[in-house]
Amino acid sequence: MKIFLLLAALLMVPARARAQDDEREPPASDLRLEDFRLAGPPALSLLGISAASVSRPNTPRALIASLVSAAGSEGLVPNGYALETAPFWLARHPALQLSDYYRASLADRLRYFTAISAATSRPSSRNDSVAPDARVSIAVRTLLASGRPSAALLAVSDSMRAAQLNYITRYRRWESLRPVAATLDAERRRLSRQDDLLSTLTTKVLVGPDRELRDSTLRTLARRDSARARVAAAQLASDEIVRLENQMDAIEGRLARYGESYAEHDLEPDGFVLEVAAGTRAVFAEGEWNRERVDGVGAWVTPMYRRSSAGIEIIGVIRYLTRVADYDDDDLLDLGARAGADVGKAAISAEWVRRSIKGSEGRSSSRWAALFEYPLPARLHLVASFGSDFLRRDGKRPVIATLGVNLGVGAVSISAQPPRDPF
Amino acid sequence: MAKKPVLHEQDYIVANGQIRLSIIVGERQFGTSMVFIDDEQTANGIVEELILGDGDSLDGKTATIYTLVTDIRDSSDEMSVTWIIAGGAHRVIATATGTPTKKFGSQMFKGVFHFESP
Repeated sequence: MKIFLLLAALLMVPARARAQDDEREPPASDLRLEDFRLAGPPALSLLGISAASVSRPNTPRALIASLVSAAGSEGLVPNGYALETAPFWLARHPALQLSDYYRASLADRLRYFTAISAATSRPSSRNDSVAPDARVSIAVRTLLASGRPSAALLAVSDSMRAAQLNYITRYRRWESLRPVAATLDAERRRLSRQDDLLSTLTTKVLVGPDRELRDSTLRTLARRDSARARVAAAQLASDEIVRLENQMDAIEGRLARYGESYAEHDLEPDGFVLEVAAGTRAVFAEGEWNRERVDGVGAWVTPMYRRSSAGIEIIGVIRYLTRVADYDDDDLLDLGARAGADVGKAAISAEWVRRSIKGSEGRSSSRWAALFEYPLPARLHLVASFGSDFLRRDGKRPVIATLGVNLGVGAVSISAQPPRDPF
Repeated sequence: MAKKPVLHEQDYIVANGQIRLSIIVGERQFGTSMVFIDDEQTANGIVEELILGDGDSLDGKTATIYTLVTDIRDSSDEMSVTWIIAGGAHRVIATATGTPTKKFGSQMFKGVFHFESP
């Protein structure tokens, strides 16, 4: 079965069936909702690049170190630097409880969720230039609405709390046994001394019966029995401590998994989430800090509603960008929305994308598509889509009709070109 | 292996009124507490404005509070627990900080308060 599916995947990906002819003509554009939704720092999106690594300092010291390392040599703008930091989280907050975090007011949300990003790039398009121009962007993003904890997050919370109580119960027992268990070695030595003494006294009593010696032997016998009882108790405590430590180790491991799961679910709240971002981009002639001119601005508004228990997710995206190089320095307004729902094991979604180009309305276009996904064995997914692509320069509007198997190494593209940001 | 707790221990002077306890697990971390008066467990879970008893009845007793904090933050593992005791001669606010030994690890905090009359 697996071999059959693999062969089918190789044959079918990307299995494309355009209802209209003219297969060789590339699509007028290749826009999908994900292409202009913020996936990383907005400063990177403003430059149209994806940095190999983004510095995310969370202490003042780390922030200063990052800025100093990126300051560049000889007064030149560095290449490929990206940073995003949330000022609120640079400091410690010993009074900030989880309950306060989830019941945050608008002012609190602005403090918790506002992040500032910056990025630089020195494009290699002018390879002949010793000092190419550099581009620098700075942007800010925040959440105006942050949703509410999902059912999955609440379930993890309940499990964590139960595990923590379980741990504390064992910890207290472990703590109470420790003093007793700690005496085990000393009690064993004491017992050994009593045994030796008793052996000596018994021999003497047998050789020459002496009343005082016999009484002393009986007292030693009693002390020996008492020592034996204490050793047994300490041994029991020691055994129980080992057992409790193993149990606590297991609970700690479980708590670590819950903690990781909590952090993941925390990123996907239920309810209404509204993210906004804005930034500006500047060009520095020949990469010099003192030769700067503003090159463009960008703004993003991303409303989202999720109801995880019903498998429903609705995402909207509004993006406005000025002076876009790929569009002859025209301004772009992108609008898009996607709604998806889980139906049994299958997931269905539909998305609509509209790109408006200011000053060139003839190039404005829209696209819609419906997507169906069904999980197959061996982590494969059957993927099908249907819709209407962007209007081409020749006035034709191709139909999108795709059927394929997602091998799990990346999403099946529903158009010929890889996604590309217009900047 | 069970770890050494972050320990805070102090005396608290009681008065005639009710003694109340609140525990704040800070740094946006996840924590659960268990409260004992001498050997008797009086509360567990999230502790907020918990009435421990009248000052007179608590005189000579000890409140021991265990709070296990688990790291749930991706970008930071800082932890803190604040104990607030009110209703006695003074309001006491004590904070202890710590970090787990590994990412998404847990750390035990232990607050011990000996109640005494003036």
